[in-house]
Amino acid sequence: MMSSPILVSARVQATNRNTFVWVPLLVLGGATVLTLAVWWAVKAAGAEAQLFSGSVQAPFWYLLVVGAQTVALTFPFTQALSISRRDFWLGAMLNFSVFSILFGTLLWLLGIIERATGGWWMNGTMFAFPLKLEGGVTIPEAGSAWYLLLYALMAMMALSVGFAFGTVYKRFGPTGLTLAITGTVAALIVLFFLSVKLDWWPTLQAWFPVDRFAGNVAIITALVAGIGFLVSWALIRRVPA
Amino acid sequence: MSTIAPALELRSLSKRYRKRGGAVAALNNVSTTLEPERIYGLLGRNGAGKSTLMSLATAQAFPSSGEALVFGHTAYEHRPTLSKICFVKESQKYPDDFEVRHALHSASLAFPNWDADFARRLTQELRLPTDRRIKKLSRGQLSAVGIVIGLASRAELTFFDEPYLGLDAVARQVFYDRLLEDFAEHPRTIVLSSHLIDEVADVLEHVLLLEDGELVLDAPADEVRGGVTTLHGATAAVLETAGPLPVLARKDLGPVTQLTVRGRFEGAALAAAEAQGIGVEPASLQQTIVFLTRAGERAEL
Repeated sequence: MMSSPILVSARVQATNRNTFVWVPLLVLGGATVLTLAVWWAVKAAGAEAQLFSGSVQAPFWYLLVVGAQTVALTFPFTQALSISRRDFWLGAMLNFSVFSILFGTLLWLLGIIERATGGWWMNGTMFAFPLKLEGGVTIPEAGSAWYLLLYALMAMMALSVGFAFGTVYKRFGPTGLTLAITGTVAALIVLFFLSVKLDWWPTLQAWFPVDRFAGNVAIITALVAGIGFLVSWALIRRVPA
Repeated sequence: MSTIAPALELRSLSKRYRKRGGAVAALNNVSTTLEPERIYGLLGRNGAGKSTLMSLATAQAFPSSGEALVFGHTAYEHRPTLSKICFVKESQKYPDDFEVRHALHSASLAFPNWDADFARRLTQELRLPTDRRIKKLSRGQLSAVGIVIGLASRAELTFFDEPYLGLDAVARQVFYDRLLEDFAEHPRTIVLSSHLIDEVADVLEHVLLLEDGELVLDAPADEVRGGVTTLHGATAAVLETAGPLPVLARKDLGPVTQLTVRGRFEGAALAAAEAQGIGVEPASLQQTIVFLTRAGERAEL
C-alpha cells in the first residue's frame, strides 16, 4: 500500500512512540505525582490553605526540546529516506497538531477530574485555575473548553518555537542560533520600551481587554506559534541535511 | 523507461565553504556522467570531497554552482526523483533514542521498492541487534544499518558512504556477496564511496577518483587496473622493455632493477618481456591509483 508522502513523513517521525507518547506522559505524570506528594506532606503537617502548583508547565519544556530535535536529528534522517523538505515540514505539522489536540484534551480532562475530586482530595489546583483576579481578569472554570484550546495552543507554541530555533541552528549554525536568541530578546525589550515610551498601553488594552483573558492568551500563543512555523517554513527549504 | 537518461549527471558541480582566510572549495567544477545499472567507485582520500559530491547529488546539500541531474532531473524537492534515491551518510544522524528497528521500519515506509524479507535476512547475517539504540551501536554496526537500508531499499540510484567502516571480515564478505547477488537480480546504479580502495576494488566497474575536490580520474575499472605495471629483472633488459613508457618509480638493487611504468603488458609485449626473463606484474587498482596520483598525472588514461 502506497500512502501519501506527507503521511509517510508523519509516520516516520512518529515511529518511536517515546517522542510523542511515553516521554510526555512520563514528564507530566512525574510532575503531577511529585506535586501530589508535596501537597500531601503539607496537608499532613496540618495546613488548611488552598494549594496551587504550576507543575503542568513541565511537559511544555520537553516539547520545546522535541521541536528542536525534530529539525536537528529527525530532519537529516528523513533526508536519508529521500523525503522532501516540504513533506518533512508538513509531516511535522501534522504530528504536532494531532499531538497538541490530544495533549490539550488530556489536560482539559485532568482539570475536570481535579474539580470532581475536590482538588485531588486536598483542595489543590494544578490543571484548571478558576480565579477572579484584581482588575477584572477572570480565568475560566474547570471543564471549560478554553482549557482544551489553550493547552493545545501552548503545546503547539512550544513545539513551534523549538522547531524554529532548531531550523535556525541547522541553517546558520551555533553563531546564528545565538544571534537569533539574543536578537529575539533584544527585539522584545525594544518593543516593551517603545510601548512605554510611545504610550501604546491604551491601544493594547483596547485590543486585548482584560475581561477577555482566555481569548487574549489564545490569540497571543497562536500568534507566536504562527511566527515560529513561518520562520521554519521559510528556512527549511534551504537547510542542508 | 523509454529514454535512458544517465543515472547521474554532474555539470560543473562546485561547492565552496567560507572559512577563515577565504573560501575553501570542497568540490571544484566536477562534471561526469554515471550510466544506469552499473557499480561505481567514488574514491579518494579523507576530505577529498566524496561526501560533498553525494550530498549535492541527492539534494541533501546545495551546490555553490553547477547542477546534478538524477535520471534527468534535479532531486531537490522533486518527489518522483527523490523516490529513486537512497543515500545514508557515513555520519548519518538518527532521531533521538531511535532503535535499529525504528530506522528499518521507517525505511520500509519511505522506499517504494523496499524488500522486508531481504532486510530481515541482512540484519541477521550482519548480526545487527534490532532492539538496540542507534546511539549505542559500534562503528561497524552503524555501517551495517546503512548497508541494510541501502540494499533493501533497491533504489535506482543507491549511494553507500564508506560502507566498510568498522565492519569485521565476515560482515564485509556478507555485504560484498549480497550486493553482487542482488545487483544481478535487480540491476541498479550503485555508488560505493571509499578511501580504502582495495576493499571495494573487486566490485567496481568504473572508478571516479577525487583529489582535493577535483575529479582526477574517471575511467572504467578495467582500464585503470593494469594501467600501471611493475617490471623487474636485469637492469638493461628492464629498461629496454620499458622503452619510452613513462616511469613512475624506480628501484635499483645491484644489477637488478624494479621499474614501475605507466602502460600495460599483454599478448606479444608480455611474451617478449617474459622471454627476456623479466617479471611482469600489473599493479592492483589501489597501487595504480596511488602511483598515478603521486606522479601528479591527471585523468586521461
